[in-house]
Amino acid sequence: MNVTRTSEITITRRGKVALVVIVLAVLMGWRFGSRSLNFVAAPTLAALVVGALHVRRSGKPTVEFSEVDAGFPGEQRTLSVTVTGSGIATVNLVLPRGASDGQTDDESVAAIDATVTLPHTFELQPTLENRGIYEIGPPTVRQRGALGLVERRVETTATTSLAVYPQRYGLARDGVVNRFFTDELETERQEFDRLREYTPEDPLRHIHWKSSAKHDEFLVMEFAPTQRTEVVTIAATATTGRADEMARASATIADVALAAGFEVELVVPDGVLPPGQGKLHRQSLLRLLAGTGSGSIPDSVTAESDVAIEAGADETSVRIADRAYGLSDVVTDDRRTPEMEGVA
Amino acid sequence: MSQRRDTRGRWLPTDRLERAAADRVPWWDELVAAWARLSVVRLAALAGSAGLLLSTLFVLETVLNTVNTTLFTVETKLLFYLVVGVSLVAATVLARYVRPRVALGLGVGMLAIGLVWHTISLDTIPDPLALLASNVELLTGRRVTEIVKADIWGLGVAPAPTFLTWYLALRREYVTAAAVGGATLGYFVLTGDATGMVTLLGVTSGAALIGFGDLDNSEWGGGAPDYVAIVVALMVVTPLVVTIVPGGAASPVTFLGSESTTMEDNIVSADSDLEILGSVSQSASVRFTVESEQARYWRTGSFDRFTGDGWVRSGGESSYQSETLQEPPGETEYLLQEVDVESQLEALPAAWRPIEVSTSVADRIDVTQNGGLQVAGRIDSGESYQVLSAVTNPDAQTLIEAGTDYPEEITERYTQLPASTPDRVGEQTSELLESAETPYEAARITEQWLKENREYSLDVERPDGNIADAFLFEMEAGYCTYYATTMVTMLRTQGIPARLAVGYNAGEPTGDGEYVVRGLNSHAWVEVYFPDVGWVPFDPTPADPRQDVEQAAIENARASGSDSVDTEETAPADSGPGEIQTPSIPDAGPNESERPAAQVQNPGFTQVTDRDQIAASEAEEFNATFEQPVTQSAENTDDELDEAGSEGQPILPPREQLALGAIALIGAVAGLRQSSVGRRLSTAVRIRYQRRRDPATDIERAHERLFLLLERRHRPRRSGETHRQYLDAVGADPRARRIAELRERAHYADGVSKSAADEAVSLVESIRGDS
Repeated sequence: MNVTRTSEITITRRGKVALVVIVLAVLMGWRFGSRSLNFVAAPTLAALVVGALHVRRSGKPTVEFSEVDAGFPGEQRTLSVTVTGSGIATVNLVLPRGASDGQTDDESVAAIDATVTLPHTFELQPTLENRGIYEIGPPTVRQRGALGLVERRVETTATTSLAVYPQRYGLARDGVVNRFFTDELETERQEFDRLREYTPEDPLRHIHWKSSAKHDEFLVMEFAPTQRTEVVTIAATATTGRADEMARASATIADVALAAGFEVELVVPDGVLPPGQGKLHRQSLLRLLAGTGSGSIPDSVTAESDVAIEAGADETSVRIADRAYGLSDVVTDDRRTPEMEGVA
Repeated sequence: MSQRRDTRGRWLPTDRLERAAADRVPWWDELVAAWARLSVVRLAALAGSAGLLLSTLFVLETVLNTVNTTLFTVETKLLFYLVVGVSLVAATVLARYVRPRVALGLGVGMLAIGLVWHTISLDTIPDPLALLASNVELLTGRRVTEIVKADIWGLGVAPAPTFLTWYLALRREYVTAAAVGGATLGYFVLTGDATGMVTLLGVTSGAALIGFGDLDNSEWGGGAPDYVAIVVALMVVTPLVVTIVPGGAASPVTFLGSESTTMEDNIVSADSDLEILGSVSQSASVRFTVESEQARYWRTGSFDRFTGDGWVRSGGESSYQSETLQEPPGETEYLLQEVDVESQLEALPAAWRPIEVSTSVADRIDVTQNGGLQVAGRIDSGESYQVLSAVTNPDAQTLIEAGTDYPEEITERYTQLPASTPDRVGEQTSELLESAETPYEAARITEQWLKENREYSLDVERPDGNIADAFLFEMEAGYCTYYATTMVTMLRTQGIPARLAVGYNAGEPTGDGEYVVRGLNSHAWVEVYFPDVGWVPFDPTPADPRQDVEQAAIENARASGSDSVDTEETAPADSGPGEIQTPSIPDAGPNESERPAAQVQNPGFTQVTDRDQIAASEAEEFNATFEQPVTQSAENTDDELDEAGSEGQPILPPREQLALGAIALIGAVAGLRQSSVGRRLSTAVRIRYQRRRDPATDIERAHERLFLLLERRHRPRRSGETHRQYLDAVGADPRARRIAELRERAHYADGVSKSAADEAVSLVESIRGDS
């Protein structure tokens, strides 16, 4: 539940200048003759009074954010900010560095910098940018008179959280990673189930050429569905400033393992995710990787893990089973196309 | 340009862009793009900056109009328009290429150049302290028109704020723009040159500049601009009903013109500007007594610059040093006056031309640029001082022979006329002075003519516009200020240097060369310059009626038992007021001492020469013919105005009032839009009227009307509720559903027939007819 409080009506810096002008006009008029000074002082006073009354009569606002789905960098999200109440308000919202408003590269420019009559709903289309778990908001809301001479600050705790997953790497062509997981799969393809007719969905390599030669049609050999219960443990550490790389590498490998049907356990400096499979597990895993920082984990855990990722100051090493690679050997720098719930 | 086509020879899209780039007309496309970028609030903010600029430019224009000179053989006003135009163009161009800091430097540079130019144009280079002092004086109410070479000052000062305000507004630095423009306007408000309406235009425009500028600098939504317009409109109205600055009524002119003002306050206490008022009263209190061998006008000051509705003395003062005071060029004799001050004086009455004052007051005396003496501070009652004057008593022959070989600085300073002076003043004067061969004759004829053709009255309604023109063509009566102002103006139209002198007339003689001077002796007259003679006084105010008024005032005051009316010498005898020795009020002039004061008739000269008589008779002769054209032309003017009105050409109020009216109107409309009354009204209008266009639009519009109607009868449609759901929820009848169906068909099926549109519209009409 958001808490929204309004503070006292205050005179802005501009309003103070207006007050000084009024006082000066009155003093000068009193001391040296009125001249046209009333035509300066009276309208300015009117502007101040009208502004104060307008703000006073304005209904107190509340602020509400919409939920934003987590996602990978480069994806676009919609975010709506609803400010209720009445009167005029200036609303400012700066997006965290995990998202940009898609219009400008300049991070210092606010996503919302608007003067509107309330109630008003702002629709934003932020683009996710950098890995992390962020809080969007609270916005600054100031109810003001039309000329900005008086204002009332609105204190609000309204926020919404935003998780940006680590960007996954593309896999290197020689398929070191794939081989590790899929070779495991190959070895278990031995439990023959039945032969069936080929359908266009089947990969060509599944065609059983021997049997097909004996028939007029292509046949595909089916194996009994594997109930994979094996757990892949991924342990990742990073020295300061290398957490991003660690998270990206971990996400890349974990994704492959999940897709291959393994249960994945993840141990990172900021937390441990018990083994699991499925859509929700994948989201929890990516979320843990989105938020983790650099640090180390006990050596024993690393030693027992199937995959150990160590993001060092100079290079990142990846150990899969008993073989060690440099990160650049197993992945390419290409971004993986952001398909979301591919295989899981 | 590379021409890429696909295999079929079609232009590739990128090439189309390139071709478009080749075809584009730079300035036109930029103009179109710029126009597309303009939003309502941007336009409104720019209009605000224009209004603020205009208010300051109006003031400067008025100053230049008043001074009305030519520079480099061009009218200064035209130069002014040129300078302002160039500044605006420069600001527009530089707003695209130059950073604010550079522009600010440019602005300050312009101002510095302008002020240096003005300083150089002065004959003497003032020291920095004097410049500072004169600025303090300006800020406490000394008019810009009082500046020496105000034309050059105005031209020099105009470009900087014009350039900066417009540049900053174009750069979207709206608040800074308002600060620059506002500071400029504030300066003119403090000097008193900005009239109320012009000030109001500037202040409200500045508010609009800030309010709309805020919106332009952020996103905006909803009715925010309406609220800005409403506040600005309220600002327009407020000062017309509320006064918060002490001593200032909504209209300063009417305030000062109220009964409480005495002529003395108006004329003598005026420090460096003199406003011509409507009705004034007279005070019978004794001000001072003079011991002098000759009865003279006890002069307190003179004014050189006529503004159309008042007078100012241009140039500052320098502190008194006896060696700086020169004697008049011609034959002079010394006249010592001993003055006992009876009630506090803020001026130093002395016969023209004072050359030395006693040490008792010397440290309080300033010398004006017109050569007069002025008291910085005051002289308290009980004090006394001596002043030595070098007086001239030229005979008529000397003045006739004086010629017209005027020094250049005299011509420049004392033949100025405001641009508001209509040509008819000069034309009528030329006609009147047809037979005058010398400036002296011209002065005498004018003096005589005014004396004989206008009634003396203290109770007049102050005319609008040029006072001299009004007194000459519209008014029948006036008092000394009107007479003198008109005579100076008439002489100046003929190129004769003349100025307005103020002070007291000789007062009541009590014997032994002593004169008792009361507040009611305050007076304004004319001084005309003659080469090799100097300034010679003329008085176009008829003496007898004025004396009657003054005497009546004294008797009234005595009857009411006022103590300050008399000194020991003048106290009325027991026999009562009726026997009081009539104060002769001898109109001081050359050779005054040679004749008994009571016989003095003509203030200028008492040795009536043949030529004087001729002049007088000529003036009388002329009256026969002049009276006629005057009234005729007055009638003509009225007729012209009436005709103009009937031909549908209304006489427009001043431009600043038009602008203010427009601002108030826009605010009222905005207020109506934001009020519930306005919303209901606009809904009612939108439900009622439908303009037929094409079938698709007509059906859409009919549907909109249907929903406005239903929402008014039932409840507003909730967000997320579809049209169908709404119709179900409110239990709409089949006609409404039919309209919704027609709209859906128009939307999703091809082709809308006119008959369908007709049906939708007639259905809405029938539903509307239900209630």
